[in-house]
Amino acid sequence: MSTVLEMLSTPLFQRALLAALVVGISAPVVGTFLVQRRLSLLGDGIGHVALTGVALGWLVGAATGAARADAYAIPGAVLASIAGAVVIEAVRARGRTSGDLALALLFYGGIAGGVVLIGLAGGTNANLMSYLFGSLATVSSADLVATLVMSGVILAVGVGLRSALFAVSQDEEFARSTGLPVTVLNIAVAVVAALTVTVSMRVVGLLLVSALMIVPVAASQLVARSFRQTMTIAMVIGGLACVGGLLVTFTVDLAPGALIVVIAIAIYAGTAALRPLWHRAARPASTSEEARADATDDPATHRAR
Amino acid sequence: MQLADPGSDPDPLHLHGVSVAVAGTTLLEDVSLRVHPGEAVALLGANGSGKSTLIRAALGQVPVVSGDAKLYDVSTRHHAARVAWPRIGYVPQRLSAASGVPATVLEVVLTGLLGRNRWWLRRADREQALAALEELGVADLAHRPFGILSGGQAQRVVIARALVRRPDLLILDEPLAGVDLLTQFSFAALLGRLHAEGRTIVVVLHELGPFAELLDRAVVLRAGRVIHDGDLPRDHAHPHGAHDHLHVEHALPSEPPTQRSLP
Repeated sequence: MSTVLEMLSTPLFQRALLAALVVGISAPVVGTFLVQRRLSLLGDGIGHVALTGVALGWLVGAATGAARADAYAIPGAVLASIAGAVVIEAVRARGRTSGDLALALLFYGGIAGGVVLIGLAGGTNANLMSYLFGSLATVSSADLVATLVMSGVILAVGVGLRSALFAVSQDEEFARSTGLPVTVLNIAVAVVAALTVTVSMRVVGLLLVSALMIVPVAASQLVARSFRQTMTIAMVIGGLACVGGLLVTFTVDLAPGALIVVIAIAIYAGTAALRPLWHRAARPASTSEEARADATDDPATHRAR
Repeated sequence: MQLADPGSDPDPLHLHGVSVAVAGTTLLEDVSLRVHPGEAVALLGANGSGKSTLIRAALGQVPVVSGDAKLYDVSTRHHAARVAWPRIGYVPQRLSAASGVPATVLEVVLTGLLGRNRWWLRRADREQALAALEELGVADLAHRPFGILSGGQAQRVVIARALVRRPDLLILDEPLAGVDLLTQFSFAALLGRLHAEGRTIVVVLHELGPFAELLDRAVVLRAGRVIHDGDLPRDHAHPHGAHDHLHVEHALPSEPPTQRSLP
């Protein structure tokens, strides 16, 4: 027990814990909008593209003789993710017929481009591993600051503009008719998704980024009744999974990124299993109320409840 | 709310030689149409005749390849940002498919209060949204998930979402689709009230049904062109004789409640 306490007091651990917490809280915010738009896999797509960005950063670092080979990896990932997200949004907005193939090309191009570019930069695939699977154990102070700033932007946009982003995600055609700048808001979602991918890269790795955005939302929407509630509960689940996963890996030698995702999925599975009980408890003696259902009060709603 | 004086107000909707083409297919050809303040106009026509496209062209939601569409004298094609969107209440045809994330009816209706310079909700908005739901007789649904509503309930909610804006121009695209006869009459009564208050109403209909009483004028489209603009079709419950057999279904409630409750 004393070793755990010792560990808790190390700056390295504290940085990792703080990074995991803010990422765990902010990733599901964006995930809520993505699930609502049925774009659950967008994070995966951006993640693939981000890998090319990481490798580009290495290439720039090698070319400019930067002190650390990976000095530009994060900026590269941010820029590539944003570019990728905006392209994906543009394809989505134009209609889905050509979108499917275009997205596939972008995904595979992202991974392949990353591997080729890292070779050109004089690195190896092993250098990409920490980006693919996360590297919470090596969060530096500069990394932490970058993570906090980007998470701040994600939370400011995702929570601050929740009503407007909800409107656009819920019914784009209607939102346009209210005068909301739909295109701007769609791009805002895309950019924030890109930022989320980049910050989550450190915690769970590019291959599992999407899980951190989507799985807490999947669990949350099982019990939530409103959009606001879905987002709030998902933030809590994300934060718990990240902090919990990290705490466990400091006592048991496991990869934190993967463990975080496993915990999130376990929360989802547990919620799904317990949901029938929850609903039974939340609906005490409603049968008499249902009996007075009139012609406009369709029983289908009661069934679904 | 004080409505603008109909005499001085520009026409709420004005299409001038509008053609719309999507992927090489012409959906509307040289359509001109003026709707005057306070008018209640029906857009009629068979499926695929271009009714919904006309509405969406007016709202600037489909690519207008020639001509111009204006709402209150501002082009939605060229100056969409300057259009008086707060004066417009739109009820789209396709109910948004249930999304992956639950949203309450209240949350959905509240989106009707947002706008170009209104990205946030205010405290008082909630009361306004509840009042709009009350007006459509579905205030009791406020906290239910929108995704599980029946067709008729969902239609009431999306009408409330448009009305919560207190629009001067109400545009409804097939509001009677999938709605039982009783609800159709209540919609007609509601629109009659709104019309009497001086609001302009443009409604896409497959058949006039209970709306015949409140409409001033009918515009009939066929294959993307206006083929009639004036009085309501005489046999106004059946604007398209060839489709009579279809309308028999509409005389019955389309959602027998007892059947929908079965698993």
